Amino acid sequence: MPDDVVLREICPALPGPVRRAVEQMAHEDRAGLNEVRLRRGRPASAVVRGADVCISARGDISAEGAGAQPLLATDAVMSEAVRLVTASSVYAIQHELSQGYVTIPGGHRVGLVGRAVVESSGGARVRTQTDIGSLNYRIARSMPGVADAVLEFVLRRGAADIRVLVVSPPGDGKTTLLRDIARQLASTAPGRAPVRVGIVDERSEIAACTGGAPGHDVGLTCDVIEGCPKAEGISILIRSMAPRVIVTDEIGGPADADALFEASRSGVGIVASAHAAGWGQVVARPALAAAVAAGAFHTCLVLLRRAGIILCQQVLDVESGRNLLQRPVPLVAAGGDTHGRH
Amino acid sequence: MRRGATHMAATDQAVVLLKLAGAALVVGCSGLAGLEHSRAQRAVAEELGRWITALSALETEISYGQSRLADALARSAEVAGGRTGLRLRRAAELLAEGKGTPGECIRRALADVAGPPGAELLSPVIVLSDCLGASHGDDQVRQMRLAGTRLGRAMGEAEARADRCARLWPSVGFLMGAMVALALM
Repeated sequence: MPDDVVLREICPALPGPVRRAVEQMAHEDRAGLNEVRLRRGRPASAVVRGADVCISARGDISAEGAGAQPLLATDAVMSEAVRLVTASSVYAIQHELSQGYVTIPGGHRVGLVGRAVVESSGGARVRTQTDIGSLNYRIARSMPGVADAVLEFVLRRGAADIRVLVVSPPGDGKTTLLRDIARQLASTAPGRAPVRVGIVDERSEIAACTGGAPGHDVGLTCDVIEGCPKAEGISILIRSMAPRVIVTDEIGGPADADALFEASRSGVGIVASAHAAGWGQVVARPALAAAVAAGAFHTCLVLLRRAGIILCQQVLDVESGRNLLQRPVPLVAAGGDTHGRH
Repeated sequence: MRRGATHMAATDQAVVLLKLAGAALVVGCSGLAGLEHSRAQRAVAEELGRWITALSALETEISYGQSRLADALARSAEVAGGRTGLRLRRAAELLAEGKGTPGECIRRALADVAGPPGAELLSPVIVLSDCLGASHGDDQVRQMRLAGTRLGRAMGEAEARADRCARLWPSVGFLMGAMVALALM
């Protein structure tokens, strides 16, 4: 059942009234659920098939602001939500809290914002957050087969030379695509042996490991280091696991880009993602532009979500700037599921 | 006549023997009750010692292992053993099932697994449970050490009480038993 993931992995982290409302939702609405948002003192809302809606206490959904008897996120609801999301273990997720998100079992990211506690010494650095005012549960769905339409571009220079950057705005399917690329590379395919893949899963979203075992199918020959900063994780994986391809999410600072560049110079393939609406924004970010200029990537996939469907809008040859796609292609799971998130 | 007198003497003898046996039983039971009381006091001190061990293990799990609280409680339950271990395991189960705050889960576990030490002696643990998991690692360690110190003091007092009981209660038990036996005879 496509909405099993919501009942199994999201509901246990939702506060009682919201959990009951989601459990009572119509099956097709729950299957299309992308996000659940709670804002202190305001009605609970959700994103269903890409559209913002309000949730009622009985699980009915309606256009935001138009819902009768909305479900309010009271102080008690918010406290319970924070307790469940943090698993009563603030000490263990302090770094994540300072970054504004927590990853819950299943690889779903819950964004939290409230009052930031800033370090008094050593510059303005957020130590943690208290008085959480808003939570955003982002539902990650494994979509095996979503990379089928673009795998030929990932492998266009052969398995020995994979240097691919995936870009899209937040929440438009980068992690879903990375996960399936990793799975397909690390699995046996007709005429191709599995490749040793190393995943640097800083936010535990790609593989969603629990107790060392991946929660999503990431292939037979895949090793995962999770919770580790990307630059360090890449270096550890190369030293310890000798991967042929490294997969990592959301390249940000110069350290990440440097580590990718070093990895590509060591003969290790790269599949990475970054937030950007298009190629123009990639080259406008100094860290990414430096990695591109240094030859860390030969192909760039530009994604976009439209009406809840992930589209691969462009496949760029980085050296020539040529778009290798005739027209945008929808990325759909083998079973036809189109609602994967991040 | 002589046969009748012999029969009565034998009956008296049997009654005396029975009374002596009864008296010995009363004295023995009272003495054992005294010993049992002193043993119970020793067990309280032993359980408090287990709580201190559990808090030490919990400190390691939280500050070094950065384990989630439910896992940390389950692992310290294994280290502690005894009734303390059962209580901590129950609290870990409740917490993992999302049945309440750490404070609520620990209070419920103490009620579910009945027995000494009671809530009064375990007040440092109950106070700690209200802030368990709610702050950063250094603060958690500070709170656990404070609770450990208070439990250590309670354990010292329980041991002193157990020593006193070990000396006093068996003697009191035997004495009381002897007095009851004499009164009945």
